[in-house]
Amino acid sequence: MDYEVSRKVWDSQIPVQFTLQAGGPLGDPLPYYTMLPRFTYLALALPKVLSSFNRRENGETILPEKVHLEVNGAPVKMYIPVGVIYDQLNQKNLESEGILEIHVRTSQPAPVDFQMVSVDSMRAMFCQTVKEADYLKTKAEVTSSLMKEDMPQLWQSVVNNNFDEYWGMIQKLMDPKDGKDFLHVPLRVYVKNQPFKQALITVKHPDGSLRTIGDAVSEILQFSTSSEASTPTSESSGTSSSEASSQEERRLISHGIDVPRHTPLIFAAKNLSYPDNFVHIVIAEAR
Amino acid sequence: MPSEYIWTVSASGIPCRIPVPSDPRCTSDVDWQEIPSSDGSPICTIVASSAAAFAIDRSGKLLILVMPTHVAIRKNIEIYNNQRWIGIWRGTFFIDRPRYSDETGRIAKDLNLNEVDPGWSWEDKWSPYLDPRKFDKEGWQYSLSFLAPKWDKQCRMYHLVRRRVLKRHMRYTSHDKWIEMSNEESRMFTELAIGGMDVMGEGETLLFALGSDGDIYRRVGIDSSCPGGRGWEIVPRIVYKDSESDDVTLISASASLATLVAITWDGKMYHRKGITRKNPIGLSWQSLPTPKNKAVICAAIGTKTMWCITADGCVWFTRLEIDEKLKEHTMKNVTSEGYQLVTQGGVSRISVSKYDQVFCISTREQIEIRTGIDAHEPSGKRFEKIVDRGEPRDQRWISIHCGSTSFSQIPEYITSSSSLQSKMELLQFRKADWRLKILEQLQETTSRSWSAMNNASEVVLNSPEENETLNGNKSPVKHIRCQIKRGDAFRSVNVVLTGKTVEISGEQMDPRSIEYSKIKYVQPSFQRLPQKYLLYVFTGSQSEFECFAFTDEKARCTFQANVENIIRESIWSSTRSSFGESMWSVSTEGDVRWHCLAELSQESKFEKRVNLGESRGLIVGDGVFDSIDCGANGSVWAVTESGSLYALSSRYQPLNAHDTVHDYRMTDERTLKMYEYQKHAVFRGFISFQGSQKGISAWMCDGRPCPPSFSSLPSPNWSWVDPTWHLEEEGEWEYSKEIDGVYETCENRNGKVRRRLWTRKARFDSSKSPWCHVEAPPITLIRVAKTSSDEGTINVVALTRDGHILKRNGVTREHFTGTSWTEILVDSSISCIHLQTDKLWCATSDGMISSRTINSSDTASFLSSSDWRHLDMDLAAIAQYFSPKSSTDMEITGVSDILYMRVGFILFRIDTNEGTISDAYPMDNLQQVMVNAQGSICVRGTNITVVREWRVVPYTDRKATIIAMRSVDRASNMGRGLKNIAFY
Repeated sequence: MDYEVSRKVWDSQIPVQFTLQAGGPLGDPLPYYTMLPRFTYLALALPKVLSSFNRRENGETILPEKVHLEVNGAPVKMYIPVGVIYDQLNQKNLESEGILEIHVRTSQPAPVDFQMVSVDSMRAMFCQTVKEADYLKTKAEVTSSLMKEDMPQLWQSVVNNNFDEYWGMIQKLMDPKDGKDFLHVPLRVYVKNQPFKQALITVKHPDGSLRTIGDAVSEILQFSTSSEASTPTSESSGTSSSEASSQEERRLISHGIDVPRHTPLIFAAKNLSYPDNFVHIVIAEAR
Repeated sequence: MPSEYIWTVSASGIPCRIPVPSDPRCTSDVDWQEIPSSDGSPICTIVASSAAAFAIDRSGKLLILVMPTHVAIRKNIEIYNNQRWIGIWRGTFFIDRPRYSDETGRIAKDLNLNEVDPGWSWEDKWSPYLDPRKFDKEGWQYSLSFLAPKWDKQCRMYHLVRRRVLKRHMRYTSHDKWIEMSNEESRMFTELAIGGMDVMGEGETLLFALGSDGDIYRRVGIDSSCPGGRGWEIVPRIVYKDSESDDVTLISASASLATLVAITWDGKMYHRKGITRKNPIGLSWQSLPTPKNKAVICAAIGTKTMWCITADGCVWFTRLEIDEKLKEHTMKNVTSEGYQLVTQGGVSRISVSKYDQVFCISTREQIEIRTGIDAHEPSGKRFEKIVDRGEPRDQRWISIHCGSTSFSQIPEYITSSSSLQSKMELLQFRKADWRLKILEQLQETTSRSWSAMNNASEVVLNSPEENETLNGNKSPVKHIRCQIKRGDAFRSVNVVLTGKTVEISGEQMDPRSIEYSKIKYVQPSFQRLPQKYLLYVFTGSQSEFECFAFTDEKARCTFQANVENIIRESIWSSTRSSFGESMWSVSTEGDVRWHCLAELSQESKFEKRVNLGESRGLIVGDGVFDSIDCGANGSVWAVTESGSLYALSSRYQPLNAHDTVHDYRMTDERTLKMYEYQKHAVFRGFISFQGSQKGISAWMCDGRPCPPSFSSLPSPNWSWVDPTWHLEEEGEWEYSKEIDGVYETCENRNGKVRRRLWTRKARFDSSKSPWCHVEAPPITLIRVAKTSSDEGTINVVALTRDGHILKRNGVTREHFTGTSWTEILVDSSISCIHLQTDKLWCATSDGMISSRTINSSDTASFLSSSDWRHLDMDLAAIAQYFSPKSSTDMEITGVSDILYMRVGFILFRIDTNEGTISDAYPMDNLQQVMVNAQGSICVRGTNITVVREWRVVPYTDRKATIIAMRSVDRASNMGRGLKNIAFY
């Protein structure tokens, strides 16, 4: 694992503005500004936000269960890391970073496609994702051998923003002791207005050369367009020529950066993954 | 070429070696290597020292494989060519010595004899020895008669005979190949044992072989110039209780000490007593109890433990006691009940290394290692399979030997394949363009995010912790409680770092305030009596300092980091590049410090040179060294006290060293010396005393008082190797009349004071070092070229302890450790070298100076000695200052054709063009002389002086000159507490 890159990835933060539209006689309270680490979840930030709003005078106490969150007028998926939400919205203008505006609404009922995630259920989902990632990487050899305390520890490092703790844990997950290569790479690709895409992608090409992140993303997108029905595997054919032209225009965004297409997939898997062990790539059109 | 291997033999009889470098990234070669014997005959068993491996094949022949060495294994053969004058020079008379003879003339030699021992070959043709001081241009020297004691290099009228020395070199050339050992009596062997590395001298080992006739033989004459030895010597048969016990089936020896154990056919063990360097055959056989009196089939001895396998398959181990004085295992504590059962079954063959690490062949013919062995748990935790690398064809093994390995802990990569792989991966990716791009972009997005946040018009940051991170770097005020040195006493003080000044206040002392800009550099130190961790903070141009004292190392480190941050900021704000002029120094405690000599001046915005005394410096962490040199493109090389060589990672930047993580491993061993002093008192004889006299207390270490038999070490990186202090030279006292006088051993014990020497070994071990170990024989001196070649390679030349010269190939900014060594052959032992960009100078201890050009593209393993050009000048003016001691205390340096030579405290200037030597220029306490990248001579004595210009006045006869310094830059006091410096 690459300490320098991992550390920078961990330290990258995004500006977030929470606004509350509660109505009421006193008008809306002042927005709440904060810098959130990219790896964190809205579920973790929400209690602090609400406690700030609750400090306003004469307002009713707002309970987490009673609110729903909106970005750009659409409900937010709270179980996605904040950085990914930000990248999806901010893909147009990488150079001038805007503030992620999140509207906290109290109107009832909540939209059907909004799902409130509490801190506890977030933890459960997080652990589930880590296990899923590990199943892809090592057939869950690592997570099954991990101590009972270890998984909560990883979650705690995310909650407390404690890199040293995280670093100790993530190495066990990313550099397993037996030294086998990853079977598959946990990679999720986000295309606008579509659910995320995922496929079984191996670290290396069949000929033994390292697969790049560019190859991997093209293959995932190809599978999802060609055959939704059958389970795609990466061992099938390489990229077609028509595909090659379109991939030139595509940009791969993660952690707010344009990931160079020829970055080896294994490097991305180990160092550009979120704490949930998945690499989240947002596809943006070329400028 | 990593020098450490585990040797093993596969089931089909192919030997294989497993490299076990201490840091595989510095050698990058960890694949197992199969080395089949030349005729393909299967091997049965194998043993190895660090210099050679020995094996027995199925037919009982003994084979040897000599490992490649950095320094050639060479023999110099000399023949004297004698001639007599009979009108012309011609051959000698019948009554004279032969025309070709040895030096005495008694033994005739044949010039046409071309035979060499197996494995050796001639390096060159016969050529006369040319030393301009002794011989004429053709190599002749003249005299009255062959028996005359004096030989003249010029032919005069009365000379009747002449002679010259013809020399020729023989070199061992069959490295890394199995060759049959010379075997006059055509003996056959069945078993081998090797050991005694710590008892025997350099390059010598004890090799025992069990003959097929049942006798044990010892190989005679193994040394570094003859790895195969010369002949066999028989070890007497085992006689026990007056009856000859026969049929030894297995022998085994300790890698470290001279202990030989033999196992007979009925499973009894015997050990050979009294094997020493002087008497390697030993004195007598003694019976050794076996575990529960069971029959033993295999045994292996380390330093502190012995492991056995009994006939029922059980594996046992027992601790061994060592007689420190005799350096042998006493074997007195070994009892049949004292063995501990480790495991039942599963192991068929076992080998124990010098540091008691255990390797074995399991009954399933796999190689396993015992993990978790350390001083507290000598029996370890469990057997684990080791990771195989490369493609050994045969996966089953029958024999293993790990005696030549010297790691005290199992390197992680032996049992875990991933740690190495991912480290290699990292190394491979480190320089990739995409990685740099990712890092750059990450940096950019972070700053963009923050500016977006700051630009948001109504920034109301609500949570307090966010506030902290925002201003985290600027929260300036820090309070520290520590002590400060006033005179000889320490006072408790409060230290406040305000952001601009360091405020020191305390009871009974005047408050003091130091401006940040005044702080120049720090020097950590360790005091044993009373135990304190000190930090000298140097301020101002005259090297004024404050000495802060802490009771624990961690507090000192934190404070040091704070102060160094202040210095770093100052340098940051004023320096353009860290490759500019700089000085690197090594303190007496081994810490390396970098001094920046080029700062931007505040007014002009141009880079200007800073006076040495006013320069700022930063400590380069995690390493203890003895000497250092720096060169082009920021390359820095350093040598430890034990002669290990290290190169500073090119990723290391002094200015942002605090936030890059380095993970090279640096280890060193040092023998600490403690003197115990006693004074003579009337009626009471010699007794210990209180207090100190002339700076000497009853117990002294490194010239400073220490508690008796102390056990404290300067930092957590240090640990003890020896469990206790022990007396050197059998605890003999040395006597003197004066406490600070000369101490001598004397029979009748007269003198007023006496002292004796205690020693204890300590080990430095850091795994976060920026220094990368470079595999080499013990080095005394390293020189790095101040300019790089056009291709960017930097010449690096090292002088080994035994006077050989090695050139490091392929050193560039990226590959800062280089790739391989080339030996530059020399005809005599060298005592100092000087490297100009492509010209190398060297001087022998008797004052012969030679030079040659070196070419960075010559990467063969040897460069011939014939390219040396002797300096044809009479150096008698310098030679008269030589003393036995000065032969080691000598240096040369210089710019283009002007050489500067230091002999003891005296400096000479040698003009090789004009052929002049200056008068002696003595200096106070002169320690070191070197040249910087601008060609100024830098001198370290009581002060450090950079001489920009010399005044050179020739005598009227133009044969000698007088020199004086003209324009100097001098730093007072900085030289104190330093033991080596280098300038760029």
